[in-house]
Amino acid sequence: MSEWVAAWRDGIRRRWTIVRLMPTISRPMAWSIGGVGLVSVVLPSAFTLATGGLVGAVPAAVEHGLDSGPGRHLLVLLAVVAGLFVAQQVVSPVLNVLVTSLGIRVNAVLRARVMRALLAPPGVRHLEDPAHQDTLALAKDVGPSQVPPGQAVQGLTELVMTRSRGVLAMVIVATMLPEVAFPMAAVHLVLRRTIRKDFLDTIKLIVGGTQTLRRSSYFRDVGLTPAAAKELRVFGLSGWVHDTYGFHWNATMADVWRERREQIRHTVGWLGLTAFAHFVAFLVVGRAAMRGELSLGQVAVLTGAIFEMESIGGVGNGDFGVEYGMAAFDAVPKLEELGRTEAAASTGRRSSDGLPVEAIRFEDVEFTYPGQDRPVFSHLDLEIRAGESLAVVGENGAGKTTLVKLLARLYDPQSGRITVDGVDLRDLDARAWQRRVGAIFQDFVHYPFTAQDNVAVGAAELLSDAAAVRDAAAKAGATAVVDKLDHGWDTVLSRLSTDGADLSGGEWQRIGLARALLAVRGGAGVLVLDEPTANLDVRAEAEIYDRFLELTGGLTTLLISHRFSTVRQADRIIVLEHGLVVEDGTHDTLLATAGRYAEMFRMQAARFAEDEVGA
Amino acid sequence: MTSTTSDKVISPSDGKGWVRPLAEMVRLSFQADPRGALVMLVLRIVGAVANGAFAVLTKQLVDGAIARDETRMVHAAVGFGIVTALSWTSGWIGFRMRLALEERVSLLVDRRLLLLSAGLPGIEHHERPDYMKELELLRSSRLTLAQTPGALFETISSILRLFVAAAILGRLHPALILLPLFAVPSALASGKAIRMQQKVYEDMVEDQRLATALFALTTTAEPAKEVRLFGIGDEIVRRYEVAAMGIERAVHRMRVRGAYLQIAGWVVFSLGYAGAIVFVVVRAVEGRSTPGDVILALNLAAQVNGQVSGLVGVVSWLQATLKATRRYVWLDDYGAEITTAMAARPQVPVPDRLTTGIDFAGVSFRYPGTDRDILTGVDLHLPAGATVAVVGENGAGKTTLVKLLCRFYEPTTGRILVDGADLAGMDVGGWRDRMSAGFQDFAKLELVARQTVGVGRLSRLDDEPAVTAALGRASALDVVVTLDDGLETQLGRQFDDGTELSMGQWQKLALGRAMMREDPLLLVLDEPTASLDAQTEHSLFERYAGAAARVASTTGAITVLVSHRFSTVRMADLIVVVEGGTVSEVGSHRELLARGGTYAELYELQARGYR
Repeated sequence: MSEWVAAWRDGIRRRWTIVRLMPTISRPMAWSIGGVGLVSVVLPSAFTLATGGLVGAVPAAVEHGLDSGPGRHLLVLLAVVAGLFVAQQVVSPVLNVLVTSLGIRVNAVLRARVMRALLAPPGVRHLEDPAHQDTLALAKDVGPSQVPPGQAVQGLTELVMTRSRGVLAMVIVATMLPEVAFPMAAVHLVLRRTIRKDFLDTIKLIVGGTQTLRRSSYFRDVGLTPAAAKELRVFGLSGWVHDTYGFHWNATMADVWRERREQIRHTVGWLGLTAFAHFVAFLVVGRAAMRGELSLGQVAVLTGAIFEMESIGGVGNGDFGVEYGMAAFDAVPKLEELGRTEAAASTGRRSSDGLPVEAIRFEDVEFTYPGQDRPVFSHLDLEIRAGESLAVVGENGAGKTTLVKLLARLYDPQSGRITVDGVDLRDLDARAWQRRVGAIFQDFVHYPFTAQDNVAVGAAELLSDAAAVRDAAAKAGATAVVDKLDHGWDTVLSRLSTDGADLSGGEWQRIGLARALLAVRGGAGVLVLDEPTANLDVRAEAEIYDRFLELTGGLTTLLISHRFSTVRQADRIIVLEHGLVVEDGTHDTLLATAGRYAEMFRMQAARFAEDEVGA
Repeated sequence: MTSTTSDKVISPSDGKGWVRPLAEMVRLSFQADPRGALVMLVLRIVGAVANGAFAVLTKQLVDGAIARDETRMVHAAVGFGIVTALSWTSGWIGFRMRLALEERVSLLVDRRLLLLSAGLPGIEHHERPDYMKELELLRSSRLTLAQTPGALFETISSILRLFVAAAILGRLHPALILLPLFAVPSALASGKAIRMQQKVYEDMVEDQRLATALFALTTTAEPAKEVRLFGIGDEIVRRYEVAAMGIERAVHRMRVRGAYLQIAGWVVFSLGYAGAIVFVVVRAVEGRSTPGDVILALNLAAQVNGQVSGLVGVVSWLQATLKATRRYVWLDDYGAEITTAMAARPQVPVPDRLTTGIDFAGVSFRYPGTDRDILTGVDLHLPAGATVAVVGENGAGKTTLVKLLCRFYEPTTGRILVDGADLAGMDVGGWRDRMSAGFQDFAKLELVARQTVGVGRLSRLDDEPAVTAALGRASALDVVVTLDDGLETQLGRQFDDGTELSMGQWQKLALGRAMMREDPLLLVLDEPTASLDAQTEHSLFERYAGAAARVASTTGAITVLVSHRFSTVRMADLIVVVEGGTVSEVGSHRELLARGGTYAELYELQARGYR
C-alpha cells in the first residue's frame, strides 16, 4: 500500500513539475490557460443546472402563461441557457489555441535546453556511451512512442479539466442523491484504473519491444531511403528486406495483439458492471421522481450530471500525452545532469593562448571506447613538435582518428596523460584548447546551410566575415565549386531545400577543407587533416600537395592520409600499428631504414617508376 | 530506342482525384483484416445509434416519472443500462480494435511501400529532388496512411450520428430538421481552419527539417566533434531557436485565425439553437409538447453542431489520408508504368557468358527532369574478359556510366549492347544476378557482420565459409579479427551492443559484399577504396583481376574500376578517360602515355608525388 502511495506521490510530483514549468515558458499563456480552463470546467455544470432550471420552470409557465412572473422567469432561464451554450463553444477553441501553442513552445524550449546540456561538456563521450542512449533517444523523441514533451502539457491540461468537470458533476449529483453519486464515482474510478492499466500495458509492450521494433523500422528505412538504394538493387535485396521487416514487426506485435485480445475478453465483465450501475442510477432517479422527492428540474439536472460524471474516469489522449510526454519531459533534467557531471569533470582553467610553443606529448596513453572491450591504445607514446607537420600512416582501424579525438580533448585517456608544453591537457581550459585545434574530419558535417555558412562555421567569430570565408575557400580550391552553383555563395547545400543543391564527394571535401582553413584564420594553431583528399580527383589532389607547405606554414599539423604524395610532404611521419608508433622519422630517414613505410612507399613508387624507363 | 517514361507520370501534388484513393483506402482496411474491419464498422454504427438513444431515454424517464408510469420509467432505466453497455462497447472495444486494425494496415502499407520503392528497378525516385520530396512525404505520412480505417469508419459514424439526431428532432417537429442547416457556417469554418492548419504545416516543412537537423547536430556524436572544435554550438542553438520559434509563431497566428472562424460559426449556430429551444419551450408552454420533449430537444440540439463540425473534422482527416493515399497511388502508377514499359520491349535472355563484350552505342544521358546532358554520344567497347579502368575529374560522368551499367537508369538515347543484344531488353533482376558492385557511397548496413557482407549473395547469407572467402578476396579479414564476436558482432550504434567501425573498416566490409558473387559477368567498382590505403587497393585489384582473368576464360567477365589511383589504374587492360561527358581517350596504359594526352598529364601529376 505504501508503495502505491509512493508511486502516486511521485506521479503528482512529476506532474507538478510540468505545471511549474508552464509560467516560465510564457506567463500570460499559462495564466490564460488557468483562467480559461477554470471557466471551461465550470461551464458544463452551469449549463446542466440551467437546463434543469429551464425544464423545471416549464410547468409553472404552462399554468400561468409566458406573460406572468413564472413565464418571465422561464424566458430569463432560456436566455441564460443560450448564453452558456455560446460561452461553452467560445471557450473550447480559445483553450485549444493556448494549449497547443504553449505545447509547441515547451518543445522548443526543452529541446534547446537539451542541446545546451549536451553541448556543455567539452568531450563527446556522453554522446557515444551506450549507457545513455536510451535517455538520449527519449529526449530526441525518436523512441518508439515519438511523443514530444509538449504533449505532456496538453495532456495534463486536458486531464485536469476533464477530471474537474467530472468531480463538479459528482458534487451536483451528491447534493440530491449522494447514494447515487458516490458509488457511481467509485465505478468510474475502478474502471479508469483498469482501462488505464490495460492501455499502458499495451504501450509498455510496444516500447518494451524496442529492440525488435527498432530493428523492423531499420529495415523499413533501408528499403525506403536512398542510402542503400544502389546495393539493394544490385544484390536483389528488396524481397529480403521486405520479409525481414515483416518478421521483426510481427515478432513485436504478436505479443501486443495477444495482450489486446485478452483485455477485450476481461473488459466484457467491466462493461456489465457499468451497464448495471447506470441502470440502478436511473432507476433510483426515476423512483425518487415518482415519489415526488425530486422536482422535474432536478431530474433534468441529474440525467445530465450523471452522464457528465463519466469524466471522473475515462482514459484518452490526455493520459497518452501525459504518460509518454512525461518520459521525454523527465529525460530533460537527466540529460542536464549528465551534461553538468561531464562538464564538471573538466576542471582545467589554464589558458592555452599560443600553445603549443614546444610540443604536444602523449605519455603512456591508454584508451578504450565506452562499451567496448578492446583498447585502442595501451601504451601510446608520441611527441608532436610545435610548428611541425606530422603525418600519421597506418591500416584501417589502427587508431588514427582516435589519436585526433584525444588530442582535441573530445575524449580523456583512461590512464597516462597528454601534455601541451608540459601542461596536462586536463589542466587547460578545454573550450579554449579546442578552439586552438582546427580540423577537417573524415566524416565532416554537411550542414544544411548556405555555401557561405558551410565554410563560415569553421570559426564562430568569423561567421559573418564574407571576405575571410572567400579567402579560405580560395586556398582550399573551393571557389570554382561555389561559382557553378545557381545562387553562388547563397545556395543552400542540401538537395531537399528549395533552390538548394547537393555537391559531390570531392566538392564537399573542398568545402570541408576551406572550413578547417577558416578555423586557422580564427585562431587555431593546430591543424588536423583527416583524409582530406580521399575523394578528390588527381588535379585537385596535386594542387593540395603542391601547396601543402603554404597551407600548413607556421602551424602544428597532423595529417592522416593514405596518399603518399601528400604524406611525404610532412616534416615527420609516423606509422601506427595496433595502437603503437612502430616507425618515426622523416620521409628520407624512413626510406633509409627500410621498414613498413619504406615498403609501402616503394611498392607504390615502383608502380610509377616503371614508366620512366618505359616511356 | 528506350527513354525514361517517368516524365509522363503526373506529380502526386497535382492529383485531385478521390475515387481511386478512396477505393484504395477501403481495400487497404478490408485487406489488412477483413473480420476486424467488419466488426469495427458494426461497432461504430451501434455507437452512433446508441448516442441518439440516450436522448430518447432521458425523455422517456422524465415523462414516465411525471406521468407516474412505473413501467415506462423502469423500461427507460433498463434502456440506459443496455445503451450504456452498447455505447461503451463501441467506445472501448471499438478503440482497441481500431488500433489493432491500424497496426495491421500500417504493416500492409509499409510492406507495399517497400515492395514499391525498393522494388523499382531504377533509383530515379531516390535522386530526383521533386520525387525525393514526394517519397519523403510519403514516408513521413505512413502513420496517416495507417489511420485509414479510423478515418473511414469515423466518417461513416459521424454521418450516421447526425442523421439519427436529425431524425429524432424531426419526429418532435418537422421544423427542427432545419437545425443542422445552422451548423453549415460552423462546418465551413472548421473546414477552412483545418485547411489553413495543414497549409501552415506544409509551408513550415523546410523550417521543421532545419530545426530537426540542427538538433541532431548537437545530440549525435559524429558532428559533435567539429561543433566543439569550431566553437559553433551556441550559434547552432541560436539558429534552432529562431527556426523553432518561427514555426511556433506561424502556427499560433494561424490557429488564432482558425479559432476566430470557429467562434463565428458557433455564434451562428447558437442562434439556431436558441431558436430551436424557444420553439420547443413555447410549444411546451402551450401544452403541445412535454417537459421530456424539452429535455430531448435541449440534448439533441446541443449535439447537432458538435456532430456537424465533428463531421468536418473527420472529413478533413479523411482528406489528409486521401492525400497520403494519392501519393501512394502515384508511386504505384509510377512503378506500374515502368514495369509495363519494360515488358513492352522485346525480351532478350541474359547470356551465360560474354564472348564479344559490352558496347555503348551512341549513348547519351541526362537525368530526368533536368536539361543538361551528363553523357553525350558515348561509343565504347568493353571487350569480354577485360579489366577496364575509368578515370576522369570529379563530375566528368564516370559514376553515370556505372549507373547505366547497373541499370539504375536507362540511356536517354542510344543503346548498351551485351554481346550485341540490347541490355534494355534483359530482365533487370536477371542481369543483376550476373553482376556485382562496390560503391563510393556504400551502405553501412547495421546488421551482424556476417549478414552485412553476406547480403552480397542472399543464398549464401548464413554461409560462414563463403563470407570469410569473400572477405579474403576483399582483403578485409583484418576487420573481422578486431571484432569482439567475429562475424556475429552486431555493427553500428543503432542497436544494443553494436560496434561502430571506422570509415575504412566499413568500406572493406562493403567490398567483401561485392566479392560475395564469385562468377559475375560484370563487376563494377566505383571508387570503392577511397578510404583504403593504396596497397590494399592495389592488392585487392591484383587479386581480383587475377581471379577474374581465370574466370574470364570461361565466362568472359568484365571488371570496371573507377579510381583516382593511377598505380592501380595502369594495371587495367583498357583505360577509359572520361571528360565533359564524352570518352576522350581509350587504350592501354602504354598507349595512352605515348599519346601524351589528358591521361599522360594526370598520370604525370600523380607520379610526381613518388619521385
